[in-house]
Amino acid sequence: MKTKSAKIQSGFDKTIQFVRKNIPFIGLITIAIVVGIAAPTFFTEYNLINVTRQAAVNGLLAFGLMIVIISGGIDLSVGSILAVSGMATAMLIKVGVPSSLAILIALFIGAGIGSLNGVLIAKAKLQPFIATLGTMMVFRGITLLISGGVPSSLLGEGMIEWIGRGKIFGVIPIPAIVLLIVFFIFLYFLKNTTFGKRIYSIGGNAKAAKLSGIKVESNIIYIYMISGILAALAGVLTTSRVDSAVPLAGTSFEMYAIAGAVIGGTSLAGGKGRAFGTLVGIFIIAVINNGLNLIGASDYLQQVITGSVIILAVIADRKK
Amino acid sequence: MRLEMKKINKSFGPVKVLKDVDFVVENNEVHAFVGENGAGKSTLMKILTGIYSLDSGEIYLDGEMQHFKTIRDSEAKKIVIVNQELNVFGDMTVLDNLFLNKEIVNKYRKIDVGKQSVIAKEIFKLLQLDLDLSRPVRELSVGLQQMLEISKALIVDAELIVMDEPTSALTEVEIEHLFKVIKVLKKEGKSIIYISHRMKEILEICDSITILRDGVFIKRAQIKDITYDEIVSNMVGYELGGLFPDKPFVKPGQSLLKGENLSKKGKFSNIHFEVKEGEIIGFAGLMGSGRTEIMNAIFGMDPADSGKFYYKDKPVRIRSVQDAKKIHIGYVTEDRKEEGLFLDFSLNENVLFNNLTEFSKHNIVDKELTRKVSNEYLKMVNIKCRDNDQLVSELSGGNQQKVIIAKWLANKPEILILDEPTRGIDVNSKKQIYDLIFKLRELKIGFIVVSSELVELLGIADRIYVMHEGRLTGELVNKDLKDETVMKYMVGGENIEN
Repeated sequence: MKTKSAKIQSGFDKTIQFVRKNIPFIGLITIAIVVGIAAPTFFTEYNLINVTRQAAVNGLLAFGLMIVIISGGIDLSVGSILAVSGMATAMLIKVGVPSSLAILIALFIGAGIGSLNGVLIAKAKLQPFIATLGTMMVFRGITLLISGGVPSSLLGEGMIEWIGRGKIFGVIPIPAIVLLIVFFIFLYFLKNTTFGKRIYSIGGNAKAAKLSGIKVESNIIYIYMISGILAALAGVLTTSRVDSAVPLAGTSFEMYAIAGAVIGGTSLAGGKGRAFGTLVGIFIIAVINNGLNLIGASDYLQQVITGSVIILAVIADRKK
Repeated sequence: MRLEMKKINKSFGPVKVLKDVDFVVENNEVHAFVGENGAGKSTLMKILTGIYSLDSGEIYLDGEMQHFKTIRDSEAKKIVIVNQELNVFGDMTVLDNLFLNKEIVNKYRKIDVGKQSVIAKEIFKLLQLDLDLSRPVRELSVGLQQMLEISKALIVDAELIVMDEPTSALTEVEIEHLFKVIKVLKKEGKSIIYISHRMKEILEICDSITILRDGVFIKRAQIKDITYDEIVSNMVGYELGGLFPDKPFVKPGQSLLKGENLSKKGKFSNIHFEVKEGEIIGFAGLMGSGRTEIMNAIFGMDPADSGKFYYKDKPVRIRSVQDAKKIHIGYVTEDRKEEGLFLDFSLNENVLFNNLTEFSKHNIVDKELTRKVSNEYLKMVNIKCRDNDQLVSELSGGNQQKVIIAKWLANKPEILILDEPTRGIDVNSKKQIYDLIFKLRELKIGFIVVSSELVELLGIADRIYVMHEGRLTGELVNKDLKDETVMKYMVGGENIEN
C-alpha cells in the first residue's frame, strides 16, 4: 500500500512540477479554449493561420528583446527601427532599386542601428534604457524627415510582395514561416551554442563573465545588432503586408515585444529566459487580440486585458 | 542588559536547524559566538532580532520574557545587529545613512539637520572617527562603512550589539580601531555578541564564548579558561590537527611567470615577482597597498602601463583576460558573489561558462563533454552538493569557493591566482582548501596567493612578497618567518632588496 501511494505521490509531484515549469503554456491552452468557446470560428484552419501571421511581427521583435533582456539590457528602439527600415525599403524600391536588394539594405540598416545601440551601451557605458530611448526618438524622427511624414505606397511585385503576402502551398503565409524559422533558430542557439551561453552568463553576472575571459563588450554589441536585424525584418514584413510604408509604423511595438518576452518567463533582472516561453508569450497576446476581435470587443479592452495578463504572468512565474 | 535564550528550536521544512539551544550573554560583556558555517549562528541571531520566529523556546532580557515578532520589536528593546553584508546606501551621505528611517524632525516635519549633526559628531567623537558628514558613503573604505553601521546602533542607544563577522573585510589597522571601539562600547556599559571565525581575535577581545555545532549547543566558557585548540575541536567535533598541511619539500621547477618593472599610474610601481612550477608565492600588504591591482594586471583585467612579463622565460604581452588565459592563468577572485560566480546557475553551467571554447566545436556546445569534464573537476575538489545541477546559490561559502577553483581547474591552469581564498569560510572548509592547494602544487601548478590573513600566508606560501602603498617593500623566504617581521614591511619598513 505504502509503495503504491508513494508512486501516486511521485506521479503527482511530477505533474505539479510540469505545471509549474510550463505555466505560460498551460495559460495559452486555457485562453485558447476559452476563446474557442466564446468564438467558434477561432479553431478554424483559416483563423489559426491568421493568428500566426499576426503574431509574426511582434514575434520577431520579441525574440530580439528576449536575448537583450536575458543579457541584462532593454531595447526600446525596435519600433523605430521597424519604421525606418520599412520606409527605407519602400523608398529604395520607388527609386528603382530591385526589391530583394532593397530588403537586404533595410536589414543592414537594422544591423547598423542595433550595433549603434550596442556601442553606446558597451563602449560609451550608457544604461541600455537611456541609449535605446535616445535612438528610439532619433530614428523615429529620421523616418518622419525622410518621408516628409507621408506614407510611401504601391510598391509593385517581386520579393516585396511575396515576403509579406505570399503563401506556401497556397495556405501558409510567409510571415508565419519566417516566425517559426526564427523561433527554431533561437531555440537551438540559446541552448546549444557558445554565443547562447555567453548571453546567459553576461546577464547572470557580467563581472564574472568578464573574468571568465568572455568578451562582454563585443557580445553585447552582437546582441543589440541581432535585435536590430529582427526589427528591420519586421519592418520589411509590415511594409510588404500593407503594400505601404507608414512613418508612424511600429509605434509602441517595443512594449508588446517586451510583454511577449516577459509573459514567457524572461526575467528583466537578466540571466533567465527561454525561446519556447517567448513564443508562448507572443501567442498569448495574439490569441487574446484575435479572440476579442472575433467576438467584436473594442480595441481598448484589448489593452486592459493584455496589461492584466502581463501582471498575472509575472506573479505566476514568481510563485515557482 | 542580560540576555538569556532558553531551549530554542527552529526548523525550516524538514530540516531542524536549532535543537534546544541555550544562549546567555551577561550584562556588559563581549561574548564570542562561534561555530562552522551552517551551525545555526545566523539563524539564532535572526530569531533574537525577530527576523525569524521561533518554533519553541523562550527569550529573556534582564529576566523579562520577550516575544519578538519583527525586527522593530527587538530594536525597541535596544538590540541591534551589524550585519556581515553592510546595509549602506552608497549614494547617500554619511549623515543620511546614519539617520535613515530614524530622522529627527522639527514641528513642521522638516528634517533637523543641525540636531542630527550634533548627535552624529558626539558619536564619532566617542568612536574616535573623523568623518565628513556630507560625504557620500560610497567613498568610504569598508572599514569606515562598518564603523558607520556601529554608529547607527549607538543612535538608537542599543544596549546589545550583535556583530556578525565584523573583521572579515577589514585591514589589520582597521581591526585595531574596531577593537578600540569595542572597548569603548564596553566601558559605556553595552553588551556585545561577537561572531567570528578568527580565533586570534576572539582570544584577544572577548570575555566569554558559546560554541554551536550542527544546531546544538556544545559549550559555554570564559575565554580565560579555554584554549585555541579546545575551541576549534569543539567547533568541528574532532581534533583538527594542524590547520595547515605539512609542507612537503617541493623543489620548484621551471619558471612559469615572471614580472619585471610593472607599473601602473596611481596603483603600483616597479613591481617584480616570479612564480615557478609547484611553487606557492604570497602577496602580503594592507588593504589599498596595491595587491589586488597587481593581480588584475597579471590577469589582464586592468593591464599595467609598463613593465614586462615572461612566460616560461619567453616575453609575453598581457593586455586582456584572453591573453592571460592563453598562457594558462586562472583567477579565483576576492569577491565570490560579485565577480566569481553565476549564482542562479548550476554547478555545471558555472564550469561551462568559464570554458566555452574548450567545451564546444564550431561554436556548438558539446553537452556530453561539458558534463563529463565538469563532473571530473567538481569531484576533484570534493564539493558537498545534491548533484551538479544544483544552483550555486544554494551552497555554503566554502563549497562555493571550491566551485570557483573547479571551474578554473577545468581550464587546465598552470598558474592560479587566489585572492583571499578563504575569506568568510569556516575552519573545516579552510583546511580542505589548503589541502587542495597542496594537492594541486604536486601537479606543478604555480600559485599566487593574496591574503589579509598573515597566518594563512605564513602557513602555505614558499615566499612572500610584501607591499606597502604600491611598492614592494620586501621579498621574504618563508622559513622561520615571524608575523612581526612581515608586518614591519607591510607598514613600510626597510627594503630587503631593491
